[in-house]
Amino acid sequence: MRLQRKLLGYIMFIAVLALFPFFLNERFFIYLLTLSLMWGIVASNWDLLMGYCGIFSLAQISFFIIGGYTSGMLVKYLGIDPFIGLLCAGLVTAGVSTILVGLPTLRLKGVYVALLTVAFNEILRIFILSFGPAGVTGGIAGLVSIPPYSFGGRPFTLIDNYYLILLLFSISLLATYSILGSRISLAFTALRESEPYAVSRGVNAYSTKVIVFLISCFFTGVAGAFYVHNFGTISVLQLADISVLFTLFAMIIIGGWGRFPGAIIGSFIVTFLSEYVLHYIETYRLITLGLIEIVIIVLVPAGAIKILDVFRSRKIA
Amino acid sequence: MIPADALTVLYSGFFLGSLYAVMAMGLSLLWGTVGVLNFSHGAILTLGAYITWWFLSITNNFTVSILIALPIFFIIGVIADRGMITSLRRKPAALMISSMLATLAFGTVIENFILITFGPRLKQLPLLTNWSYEAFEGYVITGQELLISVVAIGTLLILWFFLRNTKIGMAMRAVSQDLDGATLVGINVNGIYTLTFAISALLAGVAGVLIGSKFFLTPTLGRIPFLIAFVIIIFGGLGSVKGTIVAAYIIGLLESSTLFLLGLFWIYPVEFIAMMILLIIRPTGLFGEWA
Repeated sequence: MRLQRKLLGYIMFIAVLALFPFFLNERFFIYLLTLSLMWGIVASNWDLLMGYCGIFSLAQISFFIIGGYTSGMLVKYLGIDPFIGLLCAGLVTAGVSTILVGLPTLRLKGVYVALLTVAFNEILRIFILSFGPAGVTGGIAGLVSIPPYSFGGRPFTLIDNYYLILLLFSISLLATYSILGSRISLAFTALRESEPYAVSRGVNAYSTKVIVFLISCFFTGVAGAFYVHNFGTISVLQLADISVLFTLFAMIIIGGWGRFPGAIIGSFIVTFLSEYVLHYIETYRLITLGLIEIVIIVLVPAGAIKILDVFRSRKIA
Repeated sequence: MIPADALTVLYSGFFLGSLYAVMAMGLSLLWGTVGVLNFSHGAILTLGAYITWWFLSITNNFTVSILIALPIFFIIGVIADRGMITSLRRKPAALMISSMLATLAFGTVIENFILITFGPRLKQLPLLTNWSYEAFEGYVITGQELLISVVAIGTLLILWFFLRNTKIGMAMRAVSQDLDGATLVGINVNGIYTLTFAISALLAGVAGVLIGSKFFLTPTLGRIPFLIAFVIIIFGGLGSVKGTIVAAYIIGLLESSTLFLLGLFWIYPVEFIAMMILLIIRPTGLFGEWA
């Protein structure tokens, strides 16, 4: 019952977003919504791993990069359709990341996972920038002039891209929603609260985590593929920077980590805050975000999603 | 007879190992005692180097500026602990992740503070001594490197003495070994936590001065050293003092020999791969206890 009301809430949220361009047709605003939705996919899937599964993985941005490069290179060199590239990117990211990062790290705990994923970020960056693949990936200059999405020979406009990311976002939302409504979600909660007890009651920690890892990586890769065709370029130097990781972190923390729509709320807050307010004090952008984060972690660990709670309890009372 | 190249690699590994040991000790001490992995360690290190540089530009005396800077490192640690970690400690189950997030944010704040206040231009701490000695054809041991190694080892010895022979040091070890027991015998646990954070920041600051007097100062100076320190404490076993020091020298030697045999570019991949292999063979590190 409560879950169904939640689902209704999500559907209304997406409907409002879908109707938005009809009311307010301002290009910059639509662009910001596109960005929020894209980072919202990444942040919410990261939160699925970190907040729900308790896997402190820092490699989410690497999954995004893998997805982006996969789709970008497939479309650019092999000439396949970008929409198929989108799917391929998700599958390749899910496969590669789960084999290279998921399987080794899921046997480890806490800080070891953090370290191994940081190591993975570094190695991936070095791999893309140099050695053999530099000729194909574009090395330091990045992969450029990637064809955009098109339908019937007409390239997508800003609004088309917005609806595309909204569709992808809805699918990701639906996937997360159905995971959280299923028995897997109960398994997560049990594993997070007391892993020894959950395991002794027959919860298979390993396979549960692998499934979530696959799903999380798939959608992150898809978001990466969207990024690459939306902007027409991808550069590992720009994306593997710590400020990107940090901004994603800010989304999860400001929104509220470990509670589902939190990261999405956070991605909207951070994207709009960055462009409309912090834009005027660009030098102080990261320092301000950092201070906001510290204040939130220390004072309101639940994050902005707490506002929804206040709202809900008032309704019941 | 040992070839000259091997001696060069050994000496360079020894120098790097001493530097890394000071850096990693702070991180390891904090993890062992408080159970917090400090992601702002690298940023505090950078801040330490910059503060010393700033005092130097005022007083023009290196020794004096270090003596003024040391208490400041200590205070940074106290502020970080009292401001963030103390309130996070009320929820012990989430402490590890919440403190990681908080210190990551703190580190970014410090890095950007440095960037805004001091600017992105390269700075350098002066040479302490111009003495140098040509050990053999084409290889010079500089007094600077030797002095840095001596200071690093001295710092470690002082820390060792402090942990072994003073009451406060013993209290710190007691807290890390058995929290309940330490509370029972009347140790002020919260005070010890703050003190540990402060000593850890002090060690980071000292490491910053040492690194800053060898390399150039940039706002991101601490990032790579932090990653290496991270590798070292995991290599040596989390929270083990002996393990950290041994691992620091192993990683130092690994780095210098990789540099010599394969080239600069391979250092980080080799270090990370070595660590992954170690983690697969022995998941708790060299001197870590079997969980």
